[in-house]
Amino acid sequence: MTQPTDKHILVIEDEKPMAKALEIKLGRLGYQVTVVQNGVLGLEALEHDTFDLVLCDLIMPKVDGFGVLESIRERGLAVPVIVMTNLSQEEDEARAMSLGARDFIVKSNTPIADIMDLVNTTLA
Amino acid sequence: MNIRAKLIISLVAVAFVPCALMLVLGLVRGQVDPLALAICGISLLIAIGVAVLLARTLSLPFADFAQYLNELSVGTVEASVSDRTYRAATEYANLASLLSATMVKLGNTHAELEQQLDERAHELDETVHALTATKEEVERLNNVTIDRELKMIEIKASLREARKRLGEPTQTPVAAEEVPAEEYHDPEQGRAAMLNILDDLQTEKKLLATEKAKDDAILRSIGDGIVVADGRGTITFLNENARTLLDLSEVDNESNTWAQLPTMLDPKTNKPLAIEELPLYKAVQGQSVVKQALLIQDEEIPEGRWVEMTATPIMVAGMPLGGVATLRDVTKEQQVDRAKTEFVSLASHQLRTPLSSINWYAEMLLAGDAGELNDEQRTYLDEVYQGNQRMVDLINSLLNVSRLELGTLAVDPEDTDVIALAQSVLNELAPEIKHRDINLETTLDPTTPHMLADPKLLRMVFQNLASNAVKYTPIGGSVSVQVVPDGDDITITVADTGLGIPKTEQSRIFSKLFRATNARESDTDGTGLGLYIVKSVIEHAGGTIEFTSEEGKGTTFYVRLPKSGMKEKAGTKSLS
Repeated sequence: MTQPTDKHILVIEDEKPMAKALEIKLGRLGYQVTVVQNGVLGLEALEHDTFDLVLCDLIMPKVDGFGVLESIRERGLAVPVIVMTNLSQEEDEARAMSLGARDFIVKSNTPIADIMDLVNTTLA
Repeated sequence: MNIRAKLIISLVAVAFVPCALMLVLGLVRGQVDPLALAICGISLLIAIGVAVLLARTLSLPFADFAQYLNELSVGTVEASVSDRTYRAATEYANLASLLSATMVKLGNTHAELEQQLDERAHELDETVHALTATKEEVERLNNVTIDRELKMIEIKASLREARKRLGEPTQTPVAAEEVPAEEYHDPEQGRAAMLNILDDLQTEKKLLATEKAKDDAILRSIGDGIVVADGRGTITFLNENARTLLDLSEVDNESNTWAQLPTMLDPKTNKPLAIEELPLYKAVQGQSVVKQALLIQDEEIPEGRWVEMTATPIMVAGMPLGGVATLRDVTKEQQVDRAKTEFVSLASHQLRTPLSSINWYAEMLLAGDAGELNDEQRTYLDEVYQGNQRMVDLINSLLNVSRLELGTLAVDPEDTDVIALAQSVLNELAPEIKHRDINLETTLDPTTPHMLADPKLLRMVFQNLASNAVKYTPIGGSVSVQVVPDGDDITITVADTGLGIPKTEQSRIFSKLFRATNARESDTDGTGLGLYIVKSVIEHAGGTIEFTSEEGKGTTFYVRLPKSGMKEKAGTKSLS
């Protein structure tokens, strides 16, 4: 448990175990965390609240991660987005980055501790 | 009249003729002397008397002879016949008998001669017929010869034309055993020899025509497409399957084939192939077996039609005289392979999500996020985490394999320090090397130039080769890694004193999912995909990989990469 409690992070992840793990770890680091299960809910959350960081999956029902990135860009939001996915195609990464993603990580290849380090670095 | 009368008349005539002449002379002169007339009369009388006497005397032996002959003929012999006459008659009779026998013989001989004459005449007739027939045959052969000579001229002209088209020298070589016509001094002998040669040529021509018809039938019946080009690259033959596969059903003249070929794409780059890039064209230039998959757009197949072309030069006496290509429709194989690979890719992605959850939660437990663990719990959980990590590695390898096979693996070359990359991989392996007490020898030549390479791909090569060497070498063994420049290449040598590869399994070591028997029995982890991926990546980069190995003594891999580096290739997927 660390000090930064004023930072608000939005997690958009349809896989509940993954979402729960992130919620636990980020919470233990002192972050305020909001978790939603799809892109539509994520965009609603972004509309009503201000977030310091978004962790977003790519493959989700309704609006997927690319749709979320496009909407954020369209709205002119400056919130950084870290894309977390199990897709590892180069074209997916290139597309996400072109839509304004700050980072692109492959979940199965990345320990959760490394994700926490990345979050800390991004919000530092 | 008997012989005596004849004699008398003859003698009287002899005596009377001078008298008669004298009388006639006297009458002519008109002076007939009565004395002369008397003398003539007396002379005539004397002549008659003498004639009768002489006739009797002279004819007696003949009469006796005739009588004796008569007696001989009837079997009675008169004792009165004188001995001389008897002997003469006997001789005469013998002569007559002999004459008669001779006459008989002569008669027989005559008959025989006549028969022989008839036979000879018959034979002669036959000979005449045969000669007539021979003459006609000779005339016919003469006509045939002329026809053949004309045909030979045509054939030679055709051959010259064909050779000309094929780009061969048009002069017909003279066979060693062939004798020039002018060396036949005897015209008939020369003609006969020419006839023989023409006959032989005719026979050969028929045989050749038969063989050609057979070969044509075989080529046309082959299930694969066949395309033949001459030394100048002009298409000279297309069978029906080739026409179908290349959309050339409307082509009447094979020589126009190149211009009418459909657009063929390289399936790896999806870019149209120039004619010079086609295997058949390369084969005509003398390149050995060239194989290339071609993608042809097809209205009925959205993904296009796959045609595999394998071309080989036609070599005669070491000289390329053209090329022959076989074409095979591999669309279905490609569709099945693509579906299989896409399934693996999809399944891999789906598997990754739960594996990611297991990884993260195991990691959180090990980190004490759910409270402190005792040693036993930590050991068990560590097994779960490591096992899951192996599963993730396997999935990643399967994904890489599917990308390599799909041709969607991107190659993104950049200026790469190969030595630094090798050192980095060895540093990652350092804990394992230390743990297994491996003696590591490195020869990383600092003069090795940087090369254009995709660092992710090159790292994968080093990682697989070095980790295999460490993994399969017993504790206390040796591993050596060498990276040195060598001419236009950079060579990477990774040697170990490990298990080695059984000789019977060495040919399969680069096969997908293959693990050597002794490797499986050594209780080491492995997917059987590492060397397959290494080989695929190296070949993608235009390099080569070879190895030597002896079971129980160790293995050495030799990798050769061109300094010119990897060629950039757009792809949809990078390494996992």
